[in-house]
Amino acid sequence: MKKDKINVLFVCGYGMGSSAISEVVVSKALRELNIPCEVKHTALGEMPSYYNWADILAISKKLTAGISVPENLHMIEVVNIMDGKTIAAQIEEVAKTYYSEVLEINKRE
Amino acid sequence: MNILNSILDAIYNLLMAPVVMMGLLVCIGYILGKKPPVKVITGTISTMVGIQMVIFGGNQFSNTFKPITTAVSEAFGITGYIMDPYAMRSTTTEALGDLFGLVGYVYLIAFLVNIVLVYFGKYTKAKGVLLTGNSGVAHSQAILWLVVAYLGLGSTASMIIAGILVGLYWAYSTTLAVNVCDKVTDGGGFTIGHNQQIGLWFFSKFAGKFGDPKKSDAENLNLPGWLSIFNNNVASVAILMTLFMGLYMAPLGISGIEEIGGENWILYLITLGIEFSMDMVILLTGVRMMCGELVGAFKGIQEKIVPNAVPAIDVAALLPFSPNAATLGFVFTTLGTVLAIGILYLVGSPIMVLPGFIPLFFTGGAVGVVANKYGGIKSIIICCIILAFIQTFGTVWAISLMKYPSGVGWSGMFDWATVIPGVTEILKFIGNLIH
Repeated sequence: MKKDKINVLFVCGYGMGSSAISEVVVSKALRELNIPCEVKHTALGEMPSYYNWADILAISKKLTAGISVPENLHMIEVVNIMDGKTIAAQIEEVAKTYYSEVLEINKRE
Repeated sequence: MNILNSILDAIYNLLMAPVVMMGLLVCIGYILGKKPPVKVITGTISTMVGIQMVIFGGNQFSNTFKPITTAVSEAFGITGYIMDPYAMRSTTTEALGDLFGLVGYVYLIAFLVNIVLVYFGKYTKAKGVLLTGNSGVAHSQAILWLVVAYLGLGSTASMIIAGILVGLYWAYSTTLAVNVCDKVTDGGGFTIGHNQQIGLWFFSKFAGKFGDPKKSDAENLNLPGWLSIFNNNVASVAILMTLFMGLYMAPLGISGIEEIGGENWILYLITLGIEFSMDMVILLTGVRMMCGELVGAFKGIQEKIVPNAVPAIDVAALLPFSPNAATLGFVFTTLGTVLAIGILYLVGSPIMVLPGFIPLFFTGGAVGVVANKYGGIKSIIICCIILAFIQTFGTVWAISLMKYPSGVGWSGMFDWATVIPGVTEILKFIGNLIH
């Protein structure tokens, strides 16, 4: 099956509050940019169980020190979790470089 | 007739069961939100599984902790409680019993009160709307329990009073924190709606007196890399709980600990830490399933009715603005809490508290960020030690008021160790008047 969307995982300390609200504001911004994404959120301690699913990890800048992620995943550092536009732009940049085929499919539709 | 009665009875009991009652509320929410039927069914069932999981996780938490407190209490007359929002969740879930089903309605009333107060913000001065679903549920159940326990009114009246109190807390505590959040985030456009927003406001009032943020910004430091272990919630809970449970059980001596554990004491303490961390992951997963769609739904309502409101979100949002300060805040709040616990031992307090991870990492971290912004590194140290003392002693006060001595603990977060026990004293006073 051809890849038709990008999976973005939001990661915060407990995977409860800030990653959940971030997911809401960023989803909205991604829809406006017409980038097909599926989004989920979790806690840093539970992040590895999503490695098979995720393409992009959006992680709070508080938590990025000293962590290593698998090579095929792309990490984005998040400072203001309510700034959906900036985070969506960060995601768009990664998408253009690594997932251009997904963006193409979406354009044709 | 008998058959009809027993059927009606069965339906009534089913509807009053907490899980069904909350599930129904979510179901109606989905239908009103015009979600497709598949979503209505899967979403409702997910929520119900989540609620069941929260109840299960809470019991599990109690089961891990209870035999230990019983042993320590029998030996020394000191009763131990955990200070962590998840302990409060577990205590009040148990205390409410069948009334737990009302929590969803308390939440709705509170949200309504919050929105109305902000809608008329010109007159009420309220600006913040709480969007943190996970904390909102915990607030609703805790306040509902306190209202039920102290006022002893019927379920409808208790539900309405609790909803109004929670709504007032949401509207005004979040509004108090608007300026400090603005300063820390350079106009990030949000405030905090969690468990310590009044604390952030409180510390912003004097954090600037202890130093110059330009000269001693924590972000210029190179912190040792191993501290990042504590960013990982699963590892952090296990490590802290092993340490604190070890300290708490130390007076029993090695033989005493091995008697409770039934195995080598080191192995037992490590297993205990891992068990606590597992309980926490169960609770987290449950709450995530229960509140999964809450944030989006309430954000939508807020945008429609009060688009100019300041969204009040989880305190973790402040931490990335100053990661080093947050780490230092955690470290010094932990040290201060150990000191405060030492004092409780020395003065022979009959109530002992054991800090969970959340009051140290999230409140400690956020106060660290605020203190650094206003006064630099020295301010982080002073403010976080003050915070630790307030949280620890305030939680002892709150536990003496929680009216459920067999509960596993109380929140331990700033607002719930200061303002909320204050409100509880008022409830107690009114309760005494009317009974």
